Amino acid sequence: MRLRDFRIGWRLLLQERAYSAVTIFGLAAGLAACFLLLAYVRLSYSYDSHVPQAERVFMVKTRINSPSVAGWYENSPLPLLQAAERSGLADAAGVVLRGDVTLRQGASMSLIDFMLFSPGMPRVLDLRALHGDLAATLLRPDAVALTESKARQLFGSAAAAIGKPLTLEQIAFQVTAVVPDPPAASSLQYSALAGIASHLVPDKQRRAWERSWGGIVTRLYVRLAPGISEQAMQETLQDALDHSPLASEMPAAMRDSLQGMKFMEFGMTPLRGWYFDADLAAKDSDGKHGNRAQVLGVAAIALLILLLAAINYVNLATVRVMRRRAEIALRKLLGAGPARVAGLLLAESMLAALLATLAGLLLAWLLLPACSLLLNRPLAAAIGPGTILAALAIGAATGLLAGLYPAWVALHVRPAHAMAGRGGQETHGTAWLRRCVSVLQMAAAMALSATTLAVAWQTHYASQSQPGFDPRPLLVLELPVNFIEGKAPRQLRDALLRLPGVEGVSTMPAPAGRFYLGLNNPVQRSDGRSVTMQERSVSPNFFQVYGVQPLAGRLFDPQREQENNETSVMLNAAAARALGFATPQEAVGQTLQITSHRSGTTAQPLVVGVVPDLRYQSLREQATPIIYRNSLYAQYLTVRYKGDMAVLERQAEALLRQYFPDNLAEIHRAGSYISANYADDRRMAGMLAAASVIALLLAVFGIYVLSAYSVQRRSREIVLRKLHGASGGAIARLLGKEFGWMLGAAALIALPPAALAIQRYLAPFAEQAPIGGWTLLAAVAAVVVVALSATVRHTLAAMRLPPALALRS
Amino acid sequence: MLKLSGISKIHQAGEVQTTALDRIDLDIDAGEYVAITGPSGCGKSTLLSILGLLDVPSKGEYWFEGQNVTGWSEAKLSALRRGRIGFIFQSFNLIEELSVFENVELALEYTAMPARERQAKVTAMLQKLGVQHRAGHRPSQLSGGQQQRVAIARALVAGPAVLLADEPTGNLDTAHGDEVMRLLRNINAEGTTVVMVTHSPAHAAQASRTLNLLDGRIMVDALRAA
Repeated sequence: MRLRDFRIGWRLLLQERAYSAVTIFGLAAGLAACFLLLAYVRLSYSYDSHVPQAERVFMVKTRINSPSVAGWYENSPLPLLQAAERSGLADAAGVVLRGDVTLRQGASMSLIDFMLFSPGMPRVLDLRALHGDLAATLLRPDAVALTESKARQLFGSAAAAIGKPLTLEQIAFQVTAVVPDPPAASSLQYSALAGIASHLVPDKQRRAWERSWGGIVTRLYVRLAPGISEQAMQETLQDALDHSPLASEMPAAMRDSLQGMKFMEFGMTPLRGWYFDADLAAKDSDGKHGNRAQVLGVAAIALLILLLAAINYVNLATVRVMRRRAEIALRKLLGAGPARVAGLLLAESMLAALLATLAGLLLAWLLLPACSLLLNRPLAAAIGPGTILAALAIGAATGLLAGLYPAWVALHVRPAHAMAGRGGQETHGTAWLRRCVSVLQMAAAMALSATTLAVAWQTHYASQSQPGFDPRPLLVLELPVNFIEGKAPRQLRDALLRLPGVEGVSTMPAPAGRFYLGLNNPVQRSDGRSVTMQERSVSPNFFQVYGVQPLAGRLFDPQREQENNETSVMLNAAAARALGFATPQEAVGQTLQITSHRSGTTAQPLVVGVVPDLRYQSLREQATPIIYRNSLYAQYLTVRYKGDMAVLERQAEALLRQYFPDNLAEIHRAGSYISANYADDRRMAGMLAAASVIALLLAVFGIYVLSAYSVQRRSREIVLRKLHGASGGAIARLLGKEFGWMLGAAALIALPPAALAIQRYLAPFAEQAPIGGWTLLAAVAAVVVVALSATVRHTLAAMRLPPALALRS
Repeated sequence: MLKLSGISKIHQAGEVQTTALDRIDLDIDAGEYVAITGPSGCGKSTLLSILGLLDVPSKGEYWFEGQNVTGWSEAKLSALRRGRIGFIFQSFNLIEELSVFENVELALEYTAMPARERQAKVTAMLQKLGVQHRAGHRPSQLSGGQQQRVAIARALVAGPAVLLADEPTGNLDTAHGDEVMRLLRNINAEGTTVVMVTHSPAHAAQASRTLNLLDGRIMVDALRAA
């Protein structure tokens, strides 16, 4: 390749501007999509890479084996920290507690994402203050550290923040340190830090955490000493738990329900592996974790899109070479050897690809915010000078590889034939190659479209499916304090009841759709059968407010049951089945024995009714056994309302501000919690939809070019057929047959893997939408429509070819 | 059989008007063998297009087998062409993607003839023209003479009333050219009307009637002495 070749290439691009623009833009669109998706992949694999010697840092995860709440959790008991520190196996150990805290500045209030660090945590992460003293901050109960950007936001500059006062949760604090912002790809995200001894945690609460081996509230991290295996630490921590009061004081019934398993076990997750930890992702309703298979799938889609875009480019470039046969023949006649001819074509291809890369980078930059929103990831964090250089390298490599086939075609131009105006057609083999790649384009579009439709349909179905009650008339208010603390919650409830349109207000520990671990205690029948199940404390009118009817017996009756009267309980249908009752009716009137694991006390309430299973989580989970207790120990209010919900929202917000002036109002419609469980699915559907649209566009493009070339190649045949009496319809059918078999082949290639992918996606759902095969058929129909629209122009042109053309050479 | 009355053909390209045919009056009886000669650009191919119902005149009337086909739609003309007119070209115009058999069968594909009957007719015609042994070959595997015989087979297989030949020997050597001319004489002797455009005076002399065109007009219309 010589500089002159690039100059000629540039002139050629300018000569046919529209053609060049279409060629370059098609490749640019494919490159942009590829860059954005690969940025997502890069981000996913770069979590916590900023921590020095991160291979020695581990997070301790906890597995609870109690049947009703079995699973892995990120948090572990606080007493475990001491066990880790004393083990001698770690250079440093620390715990983290995360929460949102209300910051008051003058009259305005905002939420600030906060983390409490134990004093050893900065050593685990090698975190150092930019200003002030971080170690001292974590020891003082009235001190906070701000991140650099937060300090700038609140005080104008990082240094200026030191010594400044802050009011958090109505408590006065002082800023005594400023730390670097955590990278976007970090498992620990915060705007401010304080110590575990901070005033933000009531002393009583902290002491309870420090003693409790059964409460998993903090995240424990360890930086292992050199040469120490994570297994050694894991065994030490497990041993500490096995010798704790939790193990020795466990009620027999609970021990029996574990069937030989330990109540709690620990695992060690590498810090860099946190993002992809499948165990933790299962309980992640906020979409913080990634799914490795999904991320690799995204990488595959990125490369597929690039491949489809490159194929389109090759098609167009080859057609251009065929049109330049005379020029290429002349060059050969004048002495150009194969290397020079190939060099010319490769230079043109690389030039076009580099221009497409620059356009693709610009397009990616413009689409970055939308993509970040779609994928719920800060993609900008994955893009830097290195990524741009890598993108340019990808573009250059694409140009080189995509130029190989047109160069090969050019090398096979026979000068004598070309100068005599003969030939000009592809060989049989290359015509088949072109058809095969078009089939691949159509197959990719079909497979992506079918999968997108299935994911979108299931997500829509799941979001719309009623969880055992109609969420539309319900509004949920999150209380800043527990309902039983002080007068304000009751006053708020009574004020809500007085609003026109309000039909009832109930209390509950957590809304449907939000993860709730709660209390889990063994519940025993009179015949000795015992099941550990989740307890939910609700007000007596809870089921009335939610519009739930009993399956057997009756609901809690506000007239009959006083508040906080725990002599009556209700079971859900899963609990009745788990306890061995053949029918819900059989459970009514039974006396149960509930042993509180925490207090050791035993209660013997009466079952007054059985209600249907309400879906508190997503459609991915089966209903778990739940026992409902008549208790006002709750953090949420639910309001049943008849009228315009927006009106109630405004009124409720005003009342919350009135009774809790120092807290931000958290008000949500009941359906939004349920819908939030499918946020990841919606994101995936959005990403697949974007990929499908790009694949369909590229397929349209490819088929359009193929159609044009097909008509050109068969123009003589078309004219002769018309000469012999073929009608326009017969010509259309002739051309349609060629694309018809290609569509059939594409369907054969695409539909089986698409069906498999859909099946695997739906498998974890306890309830699936009635999808059947319609998404596959719809995808085929979409590609058929696309193919028809891409071929109609040239088919009509072919139908209009005058047969008199046969008399011209 | 074929009657042209006052036929003119004017081509308009932008502001430039070209008269390809100028007030042609021509009667061709059934069974005639007519040769059309003239210099390049005199209107020979245009005349052949109009006779073959491939082009419409700008003025005048055309009667084909007693029907005034002037102003007919392309669909009607196509239906009339089907099986009634055969074409032979200088460059053979065989379709490379089809075999010899399929190329000949093309002429019957758009008729209502059942497949079995079609195949029998094609086989018979290939045998008649001596290319049956090449039925499965592609056109590029045949010599020029063989290709033209296949083209003739395609033109005749439907039993047309008229055979239009546009420079049928233009791409052939002398021997093959003579062979094609012999075939055309035989076809005409069997009763098919033949109209041939040719640059060769020797080949024109083999026809029973010669038309000489110049600037879109028939200058000479001569019958060969029997």
